[in-house]
Amino acid sequence: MVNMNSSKSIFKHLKLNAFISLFITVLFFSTSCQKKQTLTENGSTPETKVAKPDTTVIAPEVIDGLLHSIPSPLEISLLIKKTVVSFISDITNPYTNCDNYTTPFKQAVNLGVYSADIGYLGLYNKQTVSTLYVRCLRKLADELKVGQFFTSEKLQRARTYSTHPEQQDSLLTLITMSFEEMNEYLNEKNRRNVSVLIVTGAWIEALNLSLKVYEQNPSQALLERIGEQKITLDNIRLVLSVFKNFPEFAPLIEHLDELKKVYDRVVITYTYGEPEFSEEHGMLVVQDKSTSKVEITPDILNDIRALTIRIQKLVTAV
Amino acid sequence: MVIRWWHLYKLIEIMVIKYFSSFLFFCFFTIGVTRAQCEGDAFFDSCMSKIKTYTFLKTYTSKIKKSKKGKERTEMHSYVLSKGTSYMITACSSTGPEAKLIVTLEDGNHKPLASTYSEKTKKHYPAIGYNCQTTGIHYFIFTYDKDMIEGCGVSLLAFKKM
Repeated sequence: MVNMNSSKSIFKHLKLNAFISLFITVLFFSTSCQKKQTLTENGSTPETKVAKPDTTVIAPEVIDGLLHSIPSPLEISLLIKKTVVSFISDITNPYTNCDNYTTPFKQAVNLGVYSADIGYLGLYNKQTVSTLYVRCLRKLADELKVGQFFTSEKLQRARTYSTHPEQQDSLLTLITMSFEEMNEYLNEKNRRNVSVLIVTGAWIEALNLSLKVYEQNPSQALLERIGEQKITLDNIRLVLSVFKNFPEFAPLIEHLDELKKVYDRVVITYTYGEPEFSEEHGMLVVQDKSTSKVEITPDILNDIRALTIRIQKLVTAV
Repeated sequence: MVIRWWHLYKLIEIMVIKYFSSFLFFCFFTIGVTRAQCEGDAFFDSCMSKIKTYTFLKTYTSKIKKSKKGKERTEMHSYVLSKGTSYMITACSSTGPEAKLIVTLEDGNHKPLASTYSEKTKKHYPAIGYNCQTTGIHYFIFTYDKDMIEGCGVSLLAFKKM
Protein backbone atom coordinates (compact mmCIF):
# COMPACT_ATOMS: atom_id res chain seq x y z
CA MET A 1 0.00 0.00 0.00
CA VAL A 2 2.81 2.31 1.00
CA ASN A 3 4.66 1.30 -2.15
CA MET A 4 1.63 1.95 -4.31
CA ASN A 5 1.06 5.42 -2.79
CA SER A 6 4.69 6.46 -3.13
CA SER A 7 4.84 5.31 -6.75
CA LYS A 8 1.63 7.29 -7.49
CA SER A 9 3.11 10.40 -5.94
CA ILE A 10 6.34 9.81 -7.92
CA PHE A 11 4.28 9.64 -11.11
CA LYS A 12 2.38 12.81 -10.21
CA HIS A 13 5.64 14.58 -9.47
CA LEU A 14 7.11 13.27 -12.68
CA LYS A 15 4.11 14.50 -14.73
CA LEU A 16 4.29 17.95 -13.13
CA ASN A 17 8.02 18.28 -13.73
CA ALA A 18 7.70 17.04 -17.28
CA PHE A 19 4.89 19.51 -17.90
CA ILE A 20 6.92 22.44 -16.47
CA SER A 21 9.99 21.49 -18.50
CA LEU A 22 7.93 21.09 -21.66
CA PHE A 23 6.15 24.39 -21.04
CA ILE A 24 9.43 26.28 -20.53
CA THR A 25 11.03 24.67 -23.56
CA VAL A 26 8.02 25.45 -25.78
CA LEU A 27 7.82 29.01 -24.41
CA PHE A 28 11.55 29.55 -24.90
CA PHE A 29 11.62 28.34 -28.48
CA SER A 30 8.28 29.83 -29.52
CA THR A 31 9.32 33.33 -28.36
CA SER A 32 12.57 33.18 -30.28
CA CYS A 33 10.80 31.89 -33.40
CA GLN A 34 8.10 34.55 -33.11
CA LYS A 35 10.71 37.31 -32.81
CA LYS A 36 12.48 36.08 -35.92
CA GLN A 37 9.21 35.98 -37.85
CA THR A 38 8.28 39.55 -36.86
CA LEU A 39 11.68 40.85 -37.89
CA THR A 40 11.45 39.15 -41.25
CA GLU A 41 8.03 40.63 -41.89
CA ASN A 42 9.15 44.11 -41.02
CA GLY A 43 12.41 43.76 -42.85
CA SER A 44 10.89 43.08 -46.25
CA THR A 45 11.96 45.79 -48.66
CA PRO A 46 8.96 47.57 -50.11
CA GLU A 47 10.57 48.71 -53.32
CA THR A 48 11.54 46.46 -56.21
CA LYS A 49 15.29 46.49 -56.53
CA VAL A 50 16.34 47.09 -60.09
CA ALA A 51 19.96 47.84 -59.27
CA LYS A 52 22.47 46.71 -56.69
CA PRO A 53 24.63 48.97 -54.53
CA ASP A 54 28.23 49.17 -55.63
CA THR A 55 29.92 47.94 -52.45
CA THR A 56 33.27 47.77 -54.22
CA VAL A 57 33.48 51.55 -53.67
CA ILE A 58 32.90 51.45 -49.89
CA ALA A 59 32.27 48.52 -47.53
CA PRO A 60 28.83 48.48 -45.80
CA GLU A 61 30.43 49.03 -42.37
CA VAL A 62 32.20 52.12 -43.72
CA ILE A 63 28.89 53.45 -45.06
CA ASP A 64 27.38 53.00 -41.58
CA GLY A 65 30.32 54.86 -40.06
CA LEU A 66 30.05 57.71 -42.57
CA LEU A 67 26.30 57.99 -41.99
CA HIS A 68 26.95 58.19 -38.25
CA SER A 69 29.52 60.95 -38.77
CA ILE A 70 27.08 63.31 -40.55
CA PRO A 71 25.94 66.00 -38.11
CA SER A 72 22.32 66.15 -37.04
CA PRO A 73 20.25 68.94 -38.68
CA LEU A 74 19.29 69.85 -35.12
CA GLU A 75 22.70 71.49 -34.63
CA ILE A 76 22.08 73.96 -37.46
CA SER A 77 18.55 74.62 -36.18
CA LEU A 78 19.90 75.46 -32.74
CA LEU A 79 22.44 77.82 -34.29
CA ILE A 80 19.62 79.50 -36.24
CA LYS A 81 17.59 79.81 -33.04
CA LYS A 82 20.53 81.35 -31.22
CA THR A 83 21.35 83.77 -34.05
CA VAL A 84 17.84 84.77 -35.08
CA VAL A 85 15.36 85.44 -32.32
CA SER A 86 12.22 85.71 -34.45
CA PHE A 87 10.71 82.73 -36.25
CA ILE A 88 10.56 82.91 -40.05
CA SER A 89 7.51 81.13 -41.40
CA ASP A 90 6.96 79.54 -44.82
CA ILE A 91 10.54 78.40 -45.29
CA THR A 92 9.85 74.74 -44.49
CA ASN A 93 8.53 72.15 -46.96
CA PRO A 94 4.69 72.31 -46.62
CA TYR A 95 3.32 69.31 -44.71
CA THR A 96 0.46 69.16 -47.23
CA ASN A 97 2.95 67.82 -49.80
CA CYS A 98 3.46 64.59 -47.90
CA ASP A 99 0.44 62.78 -49.39
CA ASN A 100 1.88 63.30 -52.85
CA TYR A 101 5.16 61.47 -52.22
CA THR A 102 4.32 58.07 -53.62
CA THR A 103 7.67 56.58 -54.66
CA PRO A 104 10.02 55.04 -52.05
CA PHE A 105 12.75 57.45 -53.23
CA LYS A 106 10.62 60.55 -52.59
CA GLN A 107 9.25 59.12 -49.35
CA ALA A 108 12.72 58.42 -47.96
CA VAL A 109 14.34 61.71 -48.97
CA ASN A 110 11.36 63.72 -47.69
CA LEU A 111 11.30 61.81 -44.41
CA GLY A 112 14.72 63.42 -43.95
CA VAL A 113 13.49 66.83 -45.16
CA TYR A 114 10.60 66.81 -42.66
CA SER A 115 12.90 65.71 -39.81
CA ALA A 116 14.97 68.88 -40.35
CA ASP A 117 11.77 70.96 -40.53
CA ILE A 118 10.53 69.48 -37.23
CA GLY A 119 13.88 70.38 -35.67
CA TYR A 120 13.47 73.98 -36.81
CA LEU A 121 9.80 74.24 -35.76
CA GLY A 122 10.39 72.45 -32.48
CA LEU A 123 13.12 74.84 -31.37
CA TYR A 124 10.76 77.78 -31.88
CA ASN A 125 8.12 75.86 -29.91
CA LYS A 126 5.62 75.75 -32.78
CA GLN A 127 3.66 72.91 -31.22
CA THR A 128 0.52 72.87 -33.36
CA VAL A 129 2.29 72.89 -36.70
CA SER A 130 4.97 70.49 -35.35
CA THR A 131 2.23 67.95 -34.64
CA LEU A 132 1.08 68.14 -38.28
CA TYR A 133 4.66 67.60 -39.45
CA VAL A 134 5.10 64.66 -37.04
CA ARG A 135 1.91 63.10 -38.45
CA CYS A 136 3.34 63.51 -41.93
CA LEU A 137 6.63 61.96 -40.82
CA ARG A 138 4.73 58.97 -39.45
CA LYS A 139 2.82 58.54 -42.71
CA LEU A 140 6.02 58.45 -44.76
CA ALA A 141 7.63 56.09 -42.25
CA ASP A 142 4.62 53.75 -42.51
CA GLU A 143 4.89 53.77 -46.30
CA LEU A 144 8.55 52.82 -46.00
CA LYS A 145 7.70 50.02 -43.52
CA VAL A 146 9.56 51.70 -40.67
CA GLY A 147 6.45 53.03 -38.93
CA GLN A 148 7.27 50.97 -35.81
CA PHE A 149 9.78 53.67 -34.83
CA PHE A 150 7.10 56.38 -34.81
CA THR A 151 4.24 54.62 -32.99
CA SER A 152 1.25 56.39 -31.42
CA GLU A 153 2.67 55.62 -27.94
CA LYS A 154 5.94 57.35 -28.77
CA LEU A 155 4.20 60.32 -30.37
CA GLN A 156 1.76 60.57 -27.48
CA ARG A 157 4.73 60.65 -25.12
CA ALA A 158 6.28 63.35 -27.30
CA ARG A 159 3.09 65.44 -27.13
CA THR A 160 3.01 65.10 -23.33
CA TYR A 161 6.61 66.22 -23.15
CA SER A 162 6.09 69.17 -25.46
CA THR A 163 3.45 70.64 -23.11
CA HIS A 164 6.17 71.23 -20.52
CA PRO A 165 7.93 74.49 -21.41
CA GLU A 166 11.11 73.44 -19.59
CA GLN A 167 11.24 70.28 -21.71
CA GLN A 168 10.76 71.77 -25.16
CA ASP A 169 13.68 69.67 -26.43
CA SER A 170 12.00 66.40 -25.42
CA LEU A 171 10.07 66.08 -28.68
CA LEU A 172 13.31 66.61 -30.58
CA THR A 173 15.14 64.10 -28.37
CA LEU A 174 12.46 61.48 -29.02
CA ILE A 175 12.51 62.17 -32.77
CA THR A 176 16.34 61.98 -32.78
CA MET A 177 16.22 58.66 -30.90
CA SER A 178 13.58 57.25 -33.24
CA PHE A 179 15.66 58.22 -36.28
CA GLU A 180 18.72 56.62 -34.74
CA GLU A 181 16.86 53.34 -34.07
CA MET A 182 15.33 53.42 -37.55
CA ASN A 183 18.69 53.96 -39.29
CA GLU A 184 20.26 51.14 -37.30
CA TYR A 185 17.37 48.86 -38.30
CA LEU A 186 17.60 49.86 -41.98
CA ASN A 187 21.33 49.17 -42.01
CA GLU A 188 20.82 45.78 -40.36
CA LYS A 189 18.24 44.93 -43.02
CA ASN A 190 20.55 46.01 -45.83
CA ARG A 191 18.32 48.92 -46.73
CA ARG A 192 21.11 51.46 -46.58
CA ASN A 193 19.77 53.15 -49.73
CA VAL A 194 16.82 54.31 -47.58
CA SER A 195 19.02 55.55 -44.68
CA VAL A 196 21.33 57.38 -47.10
CA LEU A 197 18.35 59.17 -48.65
CA ILE A 198 16.92 60.13 -45.25
CA VAL A 199 20.25 61.57 -44.10
CA THR A 200 20.74 63.39 -47.44
CA GLY A 201 17.23 64.87 -47.33
CA ALA A 202 17.77 66.13 -43.77
CA TRP A 203 21.10 67.70 -44.71
CA ILE A 204 19.69 69.43 -47.84
CA GLU A 205 16.78 70.89 -45.87
CA ALA A 206 19.03 72.07 -43.01
CA LEU A 207 21.28 73.85 -45.53
CA ASN A 208 18.24 75.29 -47.30
CA LEU A 209 16.79 76.62 -44.02
CA SER A 210 20.10 78.22 -42.98
CA LEU A 211 20.48 79.93 -46.38
CA LYS A 212 16.93 81.29 -46.22
CA VAL A 213 17.40 82.51 -42.65
CA TYR A 214 20.79 84.06 -43.54
CA GLU A 215 19.20 85.93 -46.46
CA GLN A 216 16.89 87.75 -44.01
CA ASN A 217 19.20 87.85 -40.98
CA PRO A 218 22.88 87.73 -41.99
CA SER A 219 25.31 86.66 -39.26
CA GLN A 220 28.97 85.62 -39.33
CA ALA A 221 28.31 82.43 -37.31
CA LEU A 222 25.64 81.24 -39.74
CA LEU A 223 27.78 82.16 -42.78
CA GLU A 224 30.66 80.10 -41.40
CA ARG A 225 28.34 77.18 -40.72
CA ILE A 226 27.08 77.32 -44.31
CA GLY A 227 30.72 77.27 -45.53
CA GLU A 228 31.62 74.38 -43.21
CA GLN A 229 29.04 72.19 -44.94
CA LYS A 230 31.85 71.53 -47.42
CA ILE A 231 33.09 68.81 -45.02
CA THR A 232 29.71 67.08 -44.69
CA LEU A 233 28.99 67.35 -48.43
CA ASP A 234 32.10 65.24 -49.11
CA ASN A 235 30.81 62.47 -46.82
CA ILE A 236 27.31 62.60 -48.31
CA ARG A 237 28.65 62.33 -51.86
CA LEU A 238 30.77 59.38 -50.79
CA VAL A 239 27.84 57.39 -49.39
CA LEU A 240 25.60 58.32 -52.33
CA SER A 241 28.23 57.09 -54.80
CA VAL A 242 27.53 53.52 -53.60
CA PHE A 243 24.04 53.82 -55.11
CA LYS A 244 25.06 55.41 -58.40
CA ASN A 245 23.61 52.37 -60.24
CA PHE A 246 20.13 53.18 -58.92
CA PRO A 247 18.53 55.27 -61.71
CA GLU A 248 16.51 57.50 -59.34
CA PHE A 249 19.71 58.51 -57.51
CA ALA A 250 21.42 59.86 -60.65
CA PRO A 251 19.91 63.40 -60.80
CA LEU A 252 20.54 63.93 -57.09
CA ILE A 253 24.18 62.82 -57.40
CA GLU A 254 24.68 65.07 -60.45
CA HIS A 255 23.31 68.11 -58.61
CA LEU A 256 25.42 67.43 -55.53
CA ASP A 257 28.49 67.06 -57.76
CA GLU A 258 27.77 70.55 -59.07
CA LEU A 259 27.40 71.84 -55.52
CA LYS A 260 30.73 70.23 -54.66
CA LYS A 261 32.41 72.28 -57.45
CA VAL A 262 31.10 75.47 -55.85
CA TYR A 263 32.10 74.33 -52.35
CA ASP A 264 35.64 73.63 -53.62
CA ARG A 265 36.04 77.43 -53.77
CA VAL A 266 35.36 77.71 -50.01
CA VAL A 267 38.65 77.81 -48.09
CA ILE A 268 38.87 76.42 -44.55
CA THR A 269 42.15 76.94 -42.66
CA TYR A 270 43.15 75.44 -39.32
CA THR A 271 45.62 76.67 -36.69
CA TYR A 272 46.60 74.26 -33.93
CA GLY A 273 46.60 75.33 -30.29
CA GLU A 274 47.30 73.19 -27.20
CA PRO A 275 43.96 72.37 -25.49
CA GLU A 276 43.36 73.39 -21.86
CA PHE A 277 41.77 71.13 -19.26
CA SER A 278 39.69 71.67 -16.16
CA GLU A 279 37.30 69.67 -13.98
CA GLU A 280 33.72 70.88 -13.62
CA HIS A 281 31.09 69.00 -11.57
CA GLY A 282 33.17 65.82 -11.81
CA MET A 283 33.40 66.09 -15.59
CA LEU A 284 36.62 66.63 -17.51
CA VAL A 285 36.26 69.79 -19.62
CA VAL A 286 38.47 70.43 -22.64
CA GLN A 287 38.82 73.93 -24.00
CA ASP A 288 39.78 73.69 -27.67
CA LYS A 289 42.51 76.27 -28.37
CA SER A 290 42.80 75.45 -32.07
CA THR A 291 40.96 77.69 -34.49
CA SER A 292 39.41 77.32 -37.92
CA LYS A 293 38.65 80.06 -40.41
CA VAL A 294 36.12 79.82 -43.23
CA GLU A 295 36.56 82.04 -46.29
CA ILE A 296 33.40 82.35 -48.35
CA THR A 297 32.78 85.28 -50.73
CA PRO A 298 29.31 86.68 -51.57
CA ASP A 299 29.64 85.18 -55.08
CA ILE A 300 30.26 81.72 -53.71
CA LEU A 301 27.37 82.14 -51.28
CA ASN A 302 25.03 83.14 -54.12
CA ASP A 303 26.07 80.09 -56.14
CA ILE A 304 25.54 77.81 -53.14
CA ARG A 305 22.11 79.36 -52.57
CA ALA A 306 21.02 79.00 -56.21
CA LEU A 307 22.12 75.37 -56.38
CA THR A 308 20.64 74.44 -53.00
CA ILE A 309 17.25 75.86 -54.04
CA ARG A 310 17.42 73.73 -57.20
CA ILE A 311 18.33 70.60 -55.24
CA GLN A 312 15.67 71.24 -52.60
CA LYS A 313 13.07 71.63 -55.37
CA LEU A 314 14.29 68.44 -57.03
CA VAL A 315 13.75 66.39 -53.88
CA THR A 316 10.55 68.02 -52.61
CA ALA A 317 8.71 68.47 -55.94
CA VAL A 318 5.41 66.59 -56.01
CA MET B 1 9.92 -1.36 1.75
CA VAL B 2 10.69 -3.06 -1.52
CA ILE B 3 12.70 -1.15 -4.05
CA ARG B 4 12.15 -2.32 -7.58
CA TRP B 5 14.30 -1.52 -10.61
CA TRP B 6 11.64 0.68 -12.20
CA HIS B 7 11.49 2.83 -9.05
CA LEU B 8 15.18 3.53 -9.42
CA TYR B 9 14.70 4.25 -13.09
CA LYS B 10 11.90 6.74 -12.32
CA LEU B 11 13.99 8.40 -9.62
CA ILE B 12 16.88 8.90 -12.06
CA GLU B 13 14.42 10.27 -14.61
CA ILE B 14 13.00 12.72 -12.04
CA MET B 15 16.52 13.90 -11.16
CA VAL B 16 17.36 14.43 -14.83
CA ILE B 17 14.13 16.38 -15.45
CA LYS B 18 14.66 18.46 -12.31
CA TYR B 19 18.20 19.38 -13.30
CA PHE B 20 17.08 20.06 -16.87
CA SER B 21 14.35 22.46 -15.62
CA SER B 22 16.83 24.17 -13.29
CA PHE B 23 19.29 24.46 -16.15
CA LEU B 24 16.64 26.03 -18.38
CA PHE B 25 15.65 28.46 -15.61
CA PHE B 26 19.31 29.30 -15.09
CA CYS B 27 19.87 29.95 -18.82
CA PHE B 28 16.69 31.97 -19.10
CA PHE B 29 17.56 34.30 -16.22
CA THR B 30 21.30 34.63 -16.77
CA ILE B 31 20.72 35.60 -20.41
CA GLY B 32 18.28 38.23 -19.14
CA VAL B 33 20.73 39.52 -16.54
CA THR B 34 23.66 39.68 -18.98
CA ARG B 35 21.55 41.60 -21.47
CA ALA B 36 20.29 43.94 -18.79
CA GLN B 37 23.79 45.04 -17.80
CA CYS B 38 24.30 47.43 -20.69
CA GLU B 39 20.89 47.47 -22.28
CA GLY B 40 17.37 48.28 -21.27
CA ASP B 41 15.55 51.51 -20.52
CA ALA B 42 16.85 51.87 -16.94
CA PHE B 43 20.50 51.70 -18.00
CA PHE B 44 19.92 54.07 -20.92
CA ASP B 45 17.93 56.52 -18.76
CA SER B 46 20.69 56.64 -16.14
CA CYS B 47 23.15 57.49 -18.91
CA MET B 48 20.74 60.08 -20.36
CA SER B 49 20.47 61.76 -16.96
CA LYS B 50 24.16 62.71 -17.24
CA ILE B 51 23.62 65.01 -20.23
CA LYS B 52 21.46 67.39 -18.15
CA THR B 53 21.10 70.71 -20.03
CA TYR B 54 22.67 69.38 -23.24
CA THR B 55 20.58 68.24 -26.22
CA PHE B 56 20.90 64.57 -27.15
CA LEU B 57 22.52 63.81 -30.53
CA LYS B 58 23.76 60.23 -30.84
CA THR B 59 24.15 56.91 -29.07
CA TYR B 60 27.19 54.69 -29.47
CA THR B 61 26.83 51.19 -28.06
CA SER B 62 29.98 49.20 -27.48
CA LYS B 63 30.46 45.54 -26.60
CA ILE B 64 33.78 43.82 -26.17
CA LYS B 65 34.19 40.09 -25.70
CA LYS B 66 36.97 38.33 -23.82
CA SER B 67 40.30 38.62 -25.54
CA LYS B 68 43.84 37.41 -25.15
CA LYS B 69 46.18 39.58 -23.12
CA GLY B 70 47.82 42.32 -25.12
CA LYS B 71 45.35 41.97 -27.97
CA GLU B 72 44.02 45.37 -28.93
CA ARG B 73 40.33 45.88 -28.24
CA THR B 74 39.27 49.20 -29.66
CA GLU B 75 36.32 50.59 -31.58
CA MET B 76 36.38 53.85 -33.49
CA HIS B 77 33.52 56.21 -34.39
CA SER B 78 33.67 59.58 -36.08
CA TYR B 79 31.52 62.72 -36.10
CA VAL B 80 31.81 66.19 -37.58
CA LEU B 81 31.94 68.52 -34.56
CA SER B 82 31.15 72.20 -35.12
CA LYS B 83 32.89 75.37 -34.04
CA GLY B 84 31.16 77.38 -31.31
CA THR B 85 29.41 74.31 -29.91
CA SER B 86 29.89 72.69 -26.53
CA TYR B 87 29.71 68.88 -26.66
CA MET B 88 29.36 66.28 -23.96
CA ILE B 89 30.56 62.72 -24.53
CA THR B 90 29.51 60.30 -21.77
CA ALA B 91 31.01 56.93 -20.87
CA CYS B 92 28.45 54.69 -19.17
CA SER B 93 29.43 51.19 -18.06
CA SER B 94 27.63 48.56 -16.02
CA THR B 95 28.32 48.54 -12.28
CA GLY B 96 29.45 44.90 -12.30
CA PRO B 97 32.96 43.46 -12.38
CA GLU B 98 33.17 43.89 -16.16
CA ALA B 99 35.79 46.06 -17.81
CA LYS B 100 34.86 49.76 -17.81
CA LEU B 101 34.41 51.70 -21.00
CA ILE B 102 36.97 54.43 -21.73
CA VAL B 103 36.19 57.04 -24.38
CA THR B 104 39.05 59.01 -25.91
CA LEU B 105 38.39 62.05 -28.06
CA GLU B 106 40.79 62.66 -30.95
CA ASP B 107 41.01 65.48 -33.50
CA GLY B 108 41.00 65.00 -37.28
CA ASN B 109 44.70 64.07 -37.23
CA HIS B 110 44.11 61.40 -34.58
CA LYS B 111 45.80 63.55 -31.98
CA PRO B 112 44.26 62.63 -28.58
CA LEU B 113 42.47 65.56 -26.96
CA ALA B 114 41.00 64.00 -23.83
CA SER B 115 39.95 60.71 -22.25
CA THR B 116 37.35 59.63 -19.69
CA TYR B 117 40.15 57.72 -17.90
CA SER B 118 43.25 59.22 -16.36
CA GLU B 119 46.21 56.83 -16.37
CA LYS B 120 47.96 59.06 -13.86
CA THR B 121 45.25 59.11 -11.19
CA LYS B 122 43.50 55.86 -12.30
CA LYS B 123 40.28 57.86 -12.24
CA HIS B 124 37.25 57.31 -14.48
CA TYR B 125 35.33 60.45 -15.49
CA PRO B 126 31.62 60.00 -16.30
CA ALA B 127 31.91 62.36 -19.28
CA ILE B 128 34.09 64.72 -21.28
CA GLY B 129 32.97 68.27 -21.98
CA TYR B 130 34.48 69.67 -25.18
CA ASN B 131 34.22 73.32 -26.16
CA CYS B 132 34.86 73.02 -29.88
CA GLN B 133 36.54 75.83 -31.83
CA THR B 134 37.38 73.92 -35.02
CA THR B 135 34.78 72.42 -37.30
CA GLY B 136 35.88 69.08 -38.64
CA ILE B 137 35.91 65.36 -38.26
CA HIS B 138 36.70 64.14 -34.74
CA TYR B 139 37.15 60.56 -33.56
CA PHE B 140 35.79 58.74 -30.50
CA ILE B 141 37.96 55.78 -29.55
CA PHE B 142 36.39 53.15 -27.27
CA THR B 143 38.67 50.98 -25.16
CA TYR B 144 38.35 49.12 -21.84
CA ASP B 145 40.32 49.32 -18.60
CA LYS B 146 40.89 45.58 -18.20
CA ASP B 147 42.27 42.93 -20.52
CA MET B 148 40.67 39.49 -21.02
CA ILE B 149 37.38 40.52 -19.39
CA GLU B 150 34.09 41.17 -21.14
CA GLY B 151 32.92 44.72 -21.23
CA CYS B 152 30.07 46.78 -22.55
CA GLY B 153 29.00 50.36 -22.38
CA VAL B 154 27.08 53.19 -23.91
CA SER B 155 28.38 56.59 -24.89
CA LEU B 156 26.03 59.47 -25.64
CA LEU B 157 26.92 62.55 -27.62
CA ALA B 158 25.02 65.71 -26.69
CA PHE B 159 25.47 69.39 -27.49
CA LYS B 160 24.59 72.97 -26.62
CA LYS B 161 25.52 76.32 -28.10
CA MET B 162 28.39 78.09 -26.36
